[in-house]
Amino acid sequence: MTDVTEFCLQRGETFDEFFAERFAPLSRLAFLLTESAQVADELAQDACEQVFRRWRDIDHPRSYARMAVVNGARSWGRHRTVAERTPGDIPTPTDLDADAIAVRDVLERLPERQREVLVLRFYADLKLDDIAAELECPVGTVKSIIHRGLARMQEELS
Amino acid sequence: MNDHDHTEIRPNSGASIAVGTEERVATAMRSLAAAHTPNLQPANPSTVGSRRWMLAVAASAVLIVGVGALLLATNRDTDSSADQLPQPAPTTQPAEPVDTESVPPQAVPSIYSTAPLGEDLVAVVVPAPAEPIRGLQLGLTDWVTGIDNGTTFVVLEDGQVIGAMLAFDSPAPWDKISEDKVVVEIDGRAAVRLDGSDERGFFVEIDGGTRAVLDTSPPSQALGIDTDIADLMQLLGDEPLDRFDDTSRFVRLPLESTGGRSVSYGTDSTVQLIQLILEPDVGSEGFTLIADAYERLLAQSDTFQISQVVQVSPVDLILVIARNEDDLDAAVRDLQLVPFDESGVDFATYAAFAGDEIVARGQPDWGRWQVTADANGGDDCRLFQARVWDLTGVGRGYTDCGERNPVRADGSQVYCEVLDIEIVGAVVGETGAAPTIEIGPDIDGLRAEVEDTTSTEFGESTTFRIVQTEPGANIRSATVLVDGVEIDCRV
Repeated sequence: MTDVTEFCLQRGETFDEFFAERFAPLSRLAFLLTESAQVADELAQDACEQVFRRWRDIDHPRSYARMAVVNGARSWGRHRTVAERTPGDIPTPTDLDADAIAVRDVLERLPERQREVLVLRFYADLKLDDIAAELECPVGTVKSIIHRGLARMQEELS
Repeated sequence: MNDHDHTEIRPNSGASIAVGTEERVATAMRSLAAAHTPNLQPANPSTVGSRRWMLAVAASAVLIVGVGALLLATNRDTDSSADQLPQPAPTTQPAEPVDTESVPPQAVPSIYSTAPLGEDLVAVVVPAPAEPIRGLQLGLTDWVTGIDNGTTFVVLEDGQVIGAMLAFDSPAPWDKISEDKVVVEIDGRAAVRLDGSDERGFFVEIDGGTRAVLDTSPPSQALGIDTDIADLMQLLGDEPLDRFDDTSRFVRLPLESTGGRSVSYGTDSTVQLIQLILEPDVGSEGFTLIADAYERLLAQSDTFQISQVVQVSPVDLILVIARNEDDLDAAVRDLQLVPFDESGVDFATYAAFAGDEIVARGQPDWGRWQVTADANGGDDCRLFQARVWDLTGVGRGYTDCGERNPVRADGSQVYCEVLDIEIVGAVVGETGAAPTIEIGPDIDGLRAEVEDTTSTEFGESTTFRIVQTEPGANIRSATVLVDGVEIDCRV
């Protein structure tokens, strides 16, 4: 038994269990942030890899992995090249209902910080305080971003 | 789904959110996420490699910050110990005061408002803070580790900066700070008065710790210790430093120096204005910087204040903090856009990606657009990028490789992009007469505005934009007739 595995058992969850349960949600979180299926999977894999490397040291692997995805998506978004934007990644409108299309359209146009806040709130289901802590910004900023984002969403959804 | 705290979301711009919107958004987001099927796959070296490199750079940046913090924590007078009293310390390298006469013309406040600003809204370009804390050798020894950062205040006289002070709170115990020191009273509060050649100011007890306000002005412009410094200390009271309401005499530096400079307009009876001016040469990260600047400005307002950030030029944002919604609306309504040509921004700011080649660009009154050829994608991969701004928002967008750029008979190409508030486009590389551009048939509530054909170093081009003439008209898609040929512009 490896040290990591032994430690995982003490924690009550092995990395394998963590990976099996969290990879898909992490990938979907990354997908909402990047709109690229391939990049989403890679970011989720990278995040899981980071968690694995630090499994003994981190207290909250889910939060750690989530922020690894957010940070990875941010880096990708800032440095992507035209060649990396792969058309066809985004589901076609026929795959989605009207609300999902509207939300996708708004997300696509939001600055990255606003997109992160909205996705963490309404997909990852984090509380305002948790979002503020993870993004290292004031709760007031989170509230303002959510309000503005909801206002834009509302326009699209109506 | 957790409770989404409806009542906690502060309307920042006055818009109200209908009940059920949050749940619809959450449901739609889950539906959108479910459309993606996660799939473990081999890493793609062309993307993952560079991404990992970038993550490594990011990690290095974090490390540097950490080392900086460590240096701060260990930046101690080795002759001191926790039991020793604070010793006179050299102050920071003072910030060079900047007066309004040295401000570039585009920063003069009057151009931003259709109505005269209140007399108390004196515009002051505040000097960049000069490395607060790090230059100090405070003799607080171990206690200095509890300082997160300092806040710089400038002192004004007739609208001119005459000096600067650094204020910060420390967990240093008051009994250690005041032991064997001359203690005076400021507004009924015990204070240690420091009046050495290198250190001038006060320490006072606050919340079991210590607050310091020190003069960081050049010796030739030393502030009055019992006037300027004591007055600010008194005004600060027990309130957190970032809650300080600027006065016509004392202005808190609202922002860090990195990424731009700020202008505070003080506070009158209705509004406070804080302006952030980014450096014009923001490069390809400009869009991100604007978003960051937006957040930085917004963070300057208290959670319960009514505020709005308005972008008045590509590099220039103003935070309006008001007492009520009416005052906010009035102040925002009075703000004016800065003409692009006066913004100090050139096209280099809008290079889409490093290495891309600009093949066409235009500068209509409403913004800027350009077409670039991807450095890696060859001629088949052209990117149309447009940026529009007005007081209701800033729109930007771009097309993807090979998307919607039909080639016309004369070899010119048509680009269009749907932005949040309008559709913009261009016919690039014309060789014949200027094209006619009209709204397609059976489209109501929209109007095409066409700029005259212009000639640049990249050749001829005609710019157009589609705007709403009726509220509620669908601006998400439109058929545009270019010389009678239908061009489909949609999201």
